[in-house]
Amino acid sequence: MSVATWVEVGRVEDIPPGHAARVEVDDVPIAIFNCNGLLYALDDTCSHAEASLSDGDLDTSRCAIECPLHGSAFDLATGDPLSLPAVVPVRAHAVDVSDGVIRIALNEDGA
Amino acid sequence: MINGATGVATDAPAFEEAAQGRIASSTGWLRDRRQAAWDAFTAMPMPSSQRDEDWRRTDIAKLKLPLFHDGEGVNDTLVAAIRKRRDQATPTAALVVDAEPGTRVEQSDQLAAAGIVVSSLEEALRAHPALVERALAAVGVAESPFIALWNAMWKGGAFIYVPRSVDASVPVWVAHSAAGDHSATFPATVVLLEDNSSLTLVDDYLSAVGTDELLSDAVTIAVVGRDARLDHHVLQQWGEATWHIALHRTVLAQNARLRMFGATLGSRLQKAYWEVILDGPGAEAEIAGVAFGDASQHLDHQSLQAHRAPQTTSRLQLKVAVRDRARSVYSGLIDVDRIAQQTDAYVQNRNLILSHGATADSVPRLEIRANDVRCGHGATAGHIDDDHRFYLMARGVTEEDADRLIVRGFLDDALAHCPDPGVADLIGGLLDHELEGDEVAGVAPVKA
Amino acid sequence: MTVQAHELTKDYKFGFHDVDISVFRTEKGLSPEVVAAISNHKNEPEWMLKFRLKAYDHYMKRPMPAWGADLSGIDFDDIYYYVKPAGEQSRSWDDVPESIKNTFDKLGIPQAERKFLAGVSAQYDSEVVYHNIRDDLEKLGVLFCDCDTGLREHPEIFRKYFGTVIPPNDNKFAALNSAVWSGGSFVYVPAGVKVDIPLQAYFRINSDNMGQFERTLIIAEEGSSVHYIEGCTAPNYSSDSLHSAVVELIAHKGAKIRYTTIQNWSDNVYNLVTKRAIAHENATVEWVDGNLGSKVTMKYPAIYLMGEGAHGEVLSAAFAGPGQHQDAGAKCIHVASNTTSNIVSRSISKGTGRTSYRGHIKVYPKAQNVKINVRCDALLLDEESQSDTYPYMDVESPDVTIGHEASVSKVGEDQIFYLTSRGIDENEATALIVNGFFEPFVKELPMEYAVELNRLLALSMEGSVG
Repeated sequence: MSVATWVEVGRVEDIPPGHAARVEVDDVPIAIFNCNGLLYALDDTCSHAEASLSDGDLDTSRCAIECPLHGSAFDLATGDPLSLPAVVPVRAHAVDVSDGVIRIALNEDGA
Repeated sequence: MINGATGVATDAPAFEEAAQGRIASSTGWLRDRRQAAWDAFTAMPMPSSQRDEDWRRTDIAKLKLPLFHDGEGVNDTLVAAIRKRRDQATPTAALVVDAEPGTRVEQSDQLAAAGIVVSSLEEALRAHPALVERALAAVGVAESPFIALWNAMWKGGAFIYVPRSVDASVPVWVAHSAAGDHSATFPATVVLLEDNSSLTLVDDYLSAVGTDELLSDAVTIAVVGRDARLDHHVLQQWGEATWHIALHRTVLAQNARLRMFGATLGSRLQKAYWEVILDGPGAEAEIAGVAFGDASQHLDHQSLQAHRAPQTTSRLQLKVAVRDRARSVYSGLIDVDRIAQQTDAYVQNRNLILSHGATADSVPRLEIRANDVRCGHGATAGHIDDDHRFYLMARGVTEEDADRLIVRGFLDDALAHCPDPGVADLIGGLLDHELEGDEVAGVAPVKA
Repeated sequence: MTVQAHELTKDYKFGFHDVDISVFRTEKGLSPEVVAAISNHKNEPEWMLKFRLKAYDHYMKRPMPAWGADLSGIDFDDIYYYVKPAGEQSRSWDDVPESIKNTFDKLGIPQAERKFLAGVSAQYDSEVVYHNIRDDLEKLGVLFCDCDTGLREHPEIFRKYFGTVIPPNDNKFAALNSAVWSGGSFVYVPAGVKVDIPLQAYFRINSDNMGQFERTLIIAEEGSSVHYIEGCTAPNYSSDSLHSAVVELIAHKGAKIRYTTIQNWSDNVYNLVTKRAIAHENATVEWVDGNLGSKVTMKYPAIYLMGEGAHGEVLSAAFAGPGQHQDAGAKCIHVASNTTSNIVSRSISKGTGRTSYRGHIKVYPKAQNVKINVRCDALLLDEESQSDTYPYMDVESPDVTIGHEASVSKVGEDQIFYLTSRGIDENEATALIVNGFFEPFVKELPMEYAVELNRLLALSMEGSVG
């Protein structure tokens, strides 16, 4: 277990509601989503095949992201897959906002 | 920082200066071939695990070609290590070291007396240009980016020619090596066997133990005449940070026979094509191999058994053990032409997975367009059988030793197909080191 | 109302067709307007219209697959994506239009069978027109209706599962189906209920240039079991047709679903189907899949073994006659521990026919004690026939036992000789050997299907020797 390291990744106004952004933290691509004003961070790479979740469709009615490649939906809060073909979760990372600055802490313990 | 801060520089044309130098110093058809290869290479995208089926399971996105350059000279301690393992394995008729600063050849006088040529490929271009041209024709100029790059960039290299009805059964040992971080090497072995001749050959790819990042873009071509026989050994023991991309292609004429044995132990990532083209009626190929992956090694073998003539036979068996986070990828194709009736072909890939985190992918494919054939494939993946382990432990063998014995037993089944017994012993010893957890990616230098 | 008559092009048992009695169909070709028209015509809820339009976008964006069979012969602009037949949904046999009854007569559904069958859901064009559920099944709470009715009358269950096994952008043809789907079956079996009679649906393509995009969703709750049978025959028309179905199965804890298909589309049909099942803890899913007809079939029934102790079976048989390409196979994805799967594939190629087995086995890292067995055998009947095998195995767990064996061979001359020396002529001998080769598949079929299959094989074999 390591102590969480908060990394600054951008400003709130960069990601308006219904939008997503892709950042890299320690060479790991992370997708940040704004669902109805709340920010979520997941691994950007789908757990099923090589695809970038930040390019997917954000379903704001259930706060889920649909992978652009094969359509698996993931819960933004937990990273759990809600539909096939993905069967394993993507990691969900902690997000913190203060003074308009977004920080995330990588979840190193896996999904 | 948001959106696309990937931090990767766009690839500048890698090897531009070196390639232009090679083209300028070549003449005639070779100059044309190098130029065409270079033009093709610069126009082709690098293989992508997203676009190319061949590379779907082998990702080379982290191989940054612009960082590489021609290698430094290989020092005497490494050459001594090469000589030592050769001595350990088998007496040879010739030793060729294909490495910077230039190919070194040691050979017995008897070879020349029998008309057998063992030289660098560069030398052969001057002495036997027609023979070299004939052999190189078996590989296209730009079949893939790595083959195009090899065609433009190879230097030194090894060339072996055996005249009609001559037996060169005492092995010729060709070692390919490199040294220095971000050194690129383009190993070349070109073999031409005339009708009714024979050759035993060892292609040995290796570098010193250590973390130098090397690139090996290798090709071996063997053109085997009617009724001729080739016994070919391929040992791969590059250091742990080496990228090894290789094509081993043998073309068999009527009633020609290939026995090939491969042992894959080293490298960070390997993509090796083992190909046999059965071009003449009655040709036969028996290919076998072992691979052992540990740490985070990625070992990819792709085989082709291309039956282009009737009454041809091929067998291929690859046994793989993976440990730690190592990944094995095997894909193979038995391709039977419409005219290749009475083909008998089989391919088998067996995998032993020794730890959580290790993976083995297997894709043995068949494409059959003749109907009077017997073709098949088998693939298995499994772990150490608890019953076997228990059986040995009940006889006083420790669990660790039991596991080692079981893995050796699993691999020995393929190793039994290694044509040269001395080479088989050498490989067996290296496998034992692997199983004991010793580093066998790369060889320890020896005081010259 | 369009009325057309067609000449029979060939003496093919199921190659008849009826006068086209379609009452509503969209214009040829596909556009967002056509998709919206389908949804409006069915009075669908807003979410389904959105689902369809999104699927349409995915479909348009996605390239044609670069692997598998040659699909260049499909003219997507020359297809009616929705045709609704005459007559409203029928509850009793008496209400079924006469011409449709004639169709069933030609298909040879025995009278006795009609009485005893749990329900005959007969798809005529894009809409299910006949549907009969026996009273006692209804009392058990089993839902068996067409998918449109499922959406209308059981919206909560339907929406909970629809599109979760196969998302609309899973692949190009799943996206197409998701945009224009119509008909197909919806089956819901409550916990503990064992449906002991197979549920059957007959499908027919009956309009020239008409695609069929049915959608089937089967949910078996905990401890329940159901066997669903899908049999297809198609009339033989001169221009190409497209059939692109999506089938989703969900087997909850301890449930068992068997899904049997006999595909015998006429040889102008492109049959591009996505079939996928989820097997939860200790559940069993079995695909019994026979492909005899069509010009091109691409179909790889899949089972995702998501719960511990789940078991999957795929039993596949394919026959490719001259000009046909059967690109079929199976996928078993092992996500959980103590899961097992078994795949048996038999295929036969004749004339210029080509069969391909394409399989995918995957074992995820956390799945322990996994056992998988794959056996595929191909028989080549003459010099022009072709067979390919493309098995993909990805193993990411050490605690597995996987065996895969494949063979390709021709009909043995000694077998033929043995039979001909006993007075059986060569054609008949070949047919016997072929029947024997398909035996592992045929023995899993209900009697009437086994009989029909053997009859079809005998027809296909004629003239295969000499």
